[in-house]
Amino acid sequence: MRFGDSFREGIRSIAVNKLRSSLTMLGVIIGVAAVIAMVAVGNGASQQVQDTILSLGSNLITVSPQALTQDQLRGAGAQSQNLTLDDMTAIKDQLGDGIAAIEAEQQAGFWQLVGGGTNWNSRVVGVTQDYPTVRDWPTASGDFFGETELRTNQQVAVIGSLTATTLFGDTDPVGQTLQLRQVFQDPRGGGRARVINFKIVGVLESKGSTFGFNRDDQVLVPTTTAQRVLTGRTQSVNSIVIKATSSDAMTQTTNDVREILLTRHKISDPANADFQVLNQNDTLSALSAVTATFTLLLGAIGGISLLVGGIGIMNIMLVSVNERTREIGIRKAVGGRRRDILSQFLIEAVTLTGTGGLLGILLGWAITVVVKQIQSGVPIAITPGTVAVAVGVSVAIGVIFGLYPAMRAARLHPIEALRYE
Amino acid sequence: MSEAALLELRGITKTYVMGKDVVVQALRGVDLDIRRGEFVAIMGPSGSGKSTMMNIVGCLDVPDTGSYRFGGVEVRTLDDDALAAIRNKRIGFVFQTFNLLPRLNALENVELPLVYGGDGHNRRERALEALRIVGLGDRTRHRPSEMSGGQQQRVAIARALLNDPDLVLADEPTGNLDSRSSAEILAIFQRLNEEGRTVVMVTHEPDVAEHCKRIVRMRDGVVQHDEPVLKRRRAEDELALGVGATA
Repeated sequence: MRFGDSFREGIRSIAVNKLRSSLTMLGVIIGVAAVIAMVAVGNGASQQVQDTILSLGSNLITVSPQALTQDQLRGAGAQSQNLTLDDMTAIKDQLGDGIAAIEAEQQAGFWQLVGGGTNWNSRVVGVTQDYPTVRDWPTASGDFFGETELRTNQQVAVIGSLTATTLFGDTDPVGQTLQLRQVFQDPRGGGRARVINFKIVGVLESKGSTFGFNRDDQVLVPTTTAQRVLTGRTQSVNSIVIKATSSDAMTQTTNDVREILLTRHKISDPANADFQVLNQNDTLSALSAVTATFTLLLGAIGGISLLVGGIGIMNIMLVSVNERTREIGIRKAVGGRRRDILSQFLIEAVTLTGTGGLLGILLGWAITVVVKQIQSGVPIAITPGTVAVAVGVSVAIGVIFGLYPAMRAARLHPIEALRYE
Repeated sequence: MSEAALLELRGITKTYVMGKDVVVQALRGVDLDIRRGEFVAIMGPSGSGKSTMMNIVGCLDVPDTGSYRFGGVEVRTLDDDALAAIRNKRIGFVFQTFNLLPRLNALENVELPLVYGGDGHNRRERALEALRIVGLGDRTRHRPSEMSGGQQQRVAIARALLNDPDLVLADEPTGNLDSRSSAEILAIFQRLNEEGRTVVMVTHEPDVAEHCKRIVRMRDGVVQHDEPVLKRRRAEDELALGVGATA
């Protein structure tokens, strides 16, 4: 029996029992739609996590101070002062073109901001001139400060887009003055304020929130200014951030950075290092392991409904074989072999599940569109891979659950089948 | 006689086990030769084993013991696929209940053996030609439910003829038909036989059997009588006389 004949027969017998076929198919449709939608949501969530991390800049290696451990007493890491701007310069000089960019940051805490006649509170961070390259974060207006401003501890600032609109509304703050204030208690009684004026030289592009923390609300000043003018920690930095040339180069660069710092800090045993090097890839893979489990779980829920759909297929195929016993007898009498009967019923089952699979993909896609409307933040992704797997699985379900009924049909004895009433 | 025999049955036995302890010995040693070009009626009361014989002759079933040679080939040694191939290419079946597929139209029903026959070459033309032979050239698109019993049986005959078989096997072909339709069907069989085709027909109606050239009577699983038909009836003549015209 040729495939075309089998296929035509399959379509025909499905078309004869329209209601029954569509109800049976519904099981597969719902199953496939569930898998597609669930996996799409899972993938979307994992994509979102990944995007969030990469929005902090890609291929990043972060060096931060590690508290020294002595006699099982451990100092607080944030207070450590063992990373310096010189460390950054040394890495930059030694690795040269081996890295894409490097910057060093010093947190200067929260300050009261006064500008454009308004008050606001925001985080102030000291950064070096390559911050925009490292973080993939250019300015929307004005320019980022450069080496000169850093060398001379100038009181210039680049502010986040939210800070800019909060203080200055729609007017361009570039060139305006930003006043940083900190109130402290005078031991002799009463409050006194430190007031420092900064000139705004640029506004960053908007990036949105990360893990519920709005990154567009911050003030960037030169690291040296943060050290000498704002914090008084004249040497140390909180972190050195290196951008590797590519994702593949990250492991190598991480090792290089560790070597340079160990040598500079005169530490022979890496276990005693007074700093830690964090590779963004490691963070990413840890997170993707989590989201992959999540996606798998969602997919499994869809898979169960697909399994139930498959059992429905098997059930209806058994009924169909039973009903058509006489037809099977006739086909055998005119020369149909076992494998002809087998393939006829298999193709029928696969046609049912295959059609169900295609409709399920459409339904699954519709569901993701609706979910996207409701939960606009999640980048829901139906990948070609998901679609291929869904089609493959639904065809496989047709074969698996259609096989037993088809074998029963093929094994019928022609005479008994012909006598069947 | 034996060298020219198309069918050669020797000591055929067949036993069925029905239910738990009921054993039915349907055939108890049948010897029979049928040559090419014969037109044989197999008669006998129910339970005589004629249906079982029919199934074995039609390669739908195999005997327990004995030898059945079809065209010189020992059928008992063949596997399922080989039996299917014989049914497809060398035997045409006509059943009492027509056994057409209700979902297919006349033409598609006739084509059915070609679906399994491998040779799909000018399938449609051959099916149309077979329908013309049985006088249904104008009924190709009708489904079985839209045709009379006689017309359905003619479709079944066209299907049986499609692969130009060595043997046409008919199991009570007129059992469900009125006398006029019966006469029409018998006329077709007689014409086919005159053109040289071997026809074996199971019937329990003596007047139907008298249209054949030879009658084999069975009883209790063996051949009881085997005799030529002396006063043969011609269905064409009966039709001309208006058999069943007013019935």
